[in-house]
Parts: sequence; C-alpha cells; structure tokens
Amino acid sequence: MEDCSALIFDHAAINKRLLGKTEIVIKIARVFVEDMAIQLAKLDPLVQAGNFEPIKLQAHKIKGSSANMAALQMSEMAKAMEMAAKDSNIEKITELHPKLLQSFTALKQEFEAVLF
Amino acid sequence: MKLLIAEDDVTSQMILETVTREWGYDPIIAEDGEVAWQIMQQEQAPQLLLLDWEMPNLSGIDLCQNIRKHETDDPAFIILLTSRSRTEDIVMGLESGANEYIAKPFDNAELQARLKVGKRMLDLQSERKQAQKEKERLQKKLELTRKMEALGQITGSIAHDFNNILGITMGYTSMALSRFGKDVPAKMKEYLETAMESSERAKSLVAKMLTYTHGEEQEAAPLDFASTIESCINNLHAMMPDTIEISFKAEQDLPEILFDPRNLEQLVVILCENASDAMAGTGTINIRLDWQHNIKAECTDCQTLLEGDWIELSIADTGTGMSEEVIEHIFEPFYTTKSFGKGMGMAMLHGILNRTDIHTIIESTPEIGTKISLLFQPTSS
Repeated sequence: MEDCSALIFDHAAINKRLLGKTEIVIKIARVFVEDMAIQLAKLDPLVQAGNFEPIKLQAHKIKGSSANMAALQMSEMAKAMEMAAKDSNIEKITELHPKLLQSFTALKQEFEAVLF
Repeated sequence: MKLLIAEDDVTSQMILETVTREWGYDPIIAEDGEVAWQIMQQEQAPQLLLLDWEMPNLSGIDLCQNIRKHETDDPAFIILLTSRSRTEDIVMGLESGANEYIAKPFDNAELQARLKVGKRMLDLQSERKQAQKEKERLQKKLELTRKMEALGQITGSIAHDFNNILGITMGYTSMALSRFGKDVPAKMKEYLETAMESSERAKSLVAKMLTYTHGEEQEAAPLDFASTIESCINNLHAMMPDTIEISFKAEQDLPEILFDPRNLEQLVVILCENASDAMAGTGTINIRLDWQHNIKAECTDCQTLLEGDWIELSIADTGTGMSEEVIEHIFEPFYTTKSFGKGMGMAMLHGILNRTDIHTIIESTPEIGTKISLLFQPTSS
C-alpha cells in the first residue's frame, strides 16, 4: 500500500546527501523537475495501453530517481505502481497514476517554496 | 582516482558526480551500460566502478559479466548500486562479478566507506603488481649479469691467449721483414707484409675483446661534449660513404660531464658505424645532445631504473631496425646480425658502460629505424 502520508520532499535529507551544497541542490532539483516531466510523459501512454512490463520498468525508474532526490511521496507512489504492474493490476495502476501526477505537482510547489 | 559511474537517471548522475568529486574521486559518467562498456575497453580505463543495475542497452549485471570475462591482470572493483534489495538480487549481483552491493537510495557514509574499500583494494593490487614487476626485473638483471660475467671470462681468457700467440706471430714476421727484407724475393716480402697487416687487424679485434672484458684505465676529464662529438663526426665522414649524411644538433648551455674523451669517441664511432650498416650505406644519421629532465626509464643494458635529469646523446637512423630478440642479445660478444660483422661493437659499448656510470636506452622498430640513447650524469649531480 502506498504511503500518501510520506513527506513530499525531505529537504534536510537531500541537503545532507549533497554535503550542504545548497546551490547544487537547487541545480539538481531543476534538472529533476525537467527530467521527471519527461519520465511521467513516457508513463502516460503505457498506462493507457495497460502494458504491464514497460509500466513496471518506468515506475521503477521514477521510484529510484525520486528516492535519490528525497521526493519521498513520489517514490512511494511509484513503488506501489511498480508492484501493481508486477501483479498485472490495472485497476490499481489507474488509481495510482493521477495520484503520482498530483504528487509531482505538489513537489514542484514545494521546490518553488523552499528552493527556487 | 578515476571512478566510472554508469547510471541512466540524470538526477542520480548529478548527485553521485557531486559527492564523489567532493570525496576526491575523478568521476566519469556513462549514461547507459553500452557507453560504460565502451569506456572500459579503452586504455587506462577506470578501475573503480559504480554501476546501476537497470540501464538501457546493457544492464549493470551484463556489464559486470562482460568486464569480468575480458579482464586481464588488473581486475576492476565494482560496486553495484540498485534499488533491488531482495536476497536473491544481492546474490545475483555478487555472482555476476560485483565486489560490493549498495541499496538505493544510498547513504552517503556507506557509499563513501565502500568506495574507500575499493580504493584500498586497488592500491594493494597495484602495489603487489609493482612488487612482482620489480622482482622479475631484478631476476632478469641478475641473470644478465651472470651471463655477461661468464661471457666476459671466456672472452678475456681467449683474448689473452690469442694476444700472446699473436705477439709471437707478429714478432717473427717483423723480424723476418727487417732482417731479410733486402734478400727475400718480392713475392715473399708481399706475403710477409700481408701476414703483418692481417695480424694488425687481429690485434685490433683482440683489443676490442679486451675492452669488453676489462678495458683501459679511465681518464675522466671535464668534457665539452659538443665539440668532442663534432671532431668525431669529422673523422667519421672520412670513414663512411658519401651517401651517409650525419646531422648533429646540440642543446646550448649543457652542463659539464666528466668522461674519458677516447671512450666517447669509441661510443660515437661504434653507434654511427652500426647506424650506417643498418641503412645499407644510404641515409641520414641524426645525432642529438639534449638535457632530459625528470626521465623515468630502464637501462636496456643493465636494467637499472633511471630517474631524474640526464644528458642524452642519441644516435638515430632510418635503417632496418631490430626485433626485441636482437636487442635482447645485442650486448653479447660475437653476436651479430651482419654477414660481415664480428659482433664486438656493442659488446665494447657494454664494456664501457659497465665501467662508467652511463646508461643506454634502445628504441627500435623493424623496418622503421633505431634510436640508441646514451645517458650521462652531469658533473654537478
């Protein structure tokens, strides 16, 4: 079960990971936003088509990237989607997909508030 | 230390690049497994690797297997970085050839510690390899010294006995010529003179053999190398065919060198004659005198490791060149590749090198040419 209560973004964790280099955190966050928009756009047609294996791989990629950026909520959503794809559960995937997109929007807002 | 990071996710690439650079590594980013594999096939490829499992074109597991399959005697240290954390994944990762396995999202302290382990292992591996190389070099040097000593004893003994016999032959020939010179028939006189000339040539050969074994006493003096070589070249012009050109360039303001001028002349003549023979009588011999700084090389003759600043006298030709096998035997007395050679030139050179603190480096490529450098230490050092 996905953890919707997870932090949208753990600022302290990414700061620590990047050795307190704020300007690098901001630079990487900008790259992350650009790249994630592309990754989510790739996921959309896969969900529409219900292709489980490609959904699993794409969700796995989103999960890893979000986790590295300390975008915990997105990472949890993507992890749940990866599991659902593994179980060939299209209902769950369809349910999680908009939540994942919402979580990304929330993350961008959080970045705007605390980083950009 | 170079660190290859194979990772397709741009965010992870940037994070890993930032932190590893901060820890003192020199990260190289490969955006997929195929690019990483291409980097690993280059010379001086990184030995410390951080690989993502899931990558387009070639997965981290396949990359690990490829690297291990093609590895020589410098195995890389591979850390697999992945969000897969099941026991069977860890086992699969390690069995594919990874040395370490770190779960994503990684913890900085853990990643840094694992990289340190890798660096430590690679340093140990490199030290062991260096020690093995040094051991092999010393063994080769010892074998060579023993071989040259044995050859020296045999050559010295033959030269000594032959010299005595030659002395008697030349003495009696000389006596016959001076005592009965007027009374002997012209033909007989010609025979005796021919015998004398041949004996002189034999004496010269014996002198070369003796130079190889113990040589004359050194009379080292502060030497103006450039002018000594120039005068030597003038003499060489008279000895060599007109089709051989000799070019000489010397760096200005070279420091003084203590050396016996007769030995220097001998060395230049030996090397120029060999160069001329290698070019079958047509071509240019390039002689250069340079101050070489911070060199790191091995003496081709005695295998001593040479470091620091040396005055280099190099003699290069565009002749037939030599194979590695020929170079291996080049300093042995009577070893020659020429149909007309006696195999004493380079043996004499070895004799002179052995008695002085000069060294030689031979670089040769068959059908391209040969460059022989003699390295002298400036007086100040």
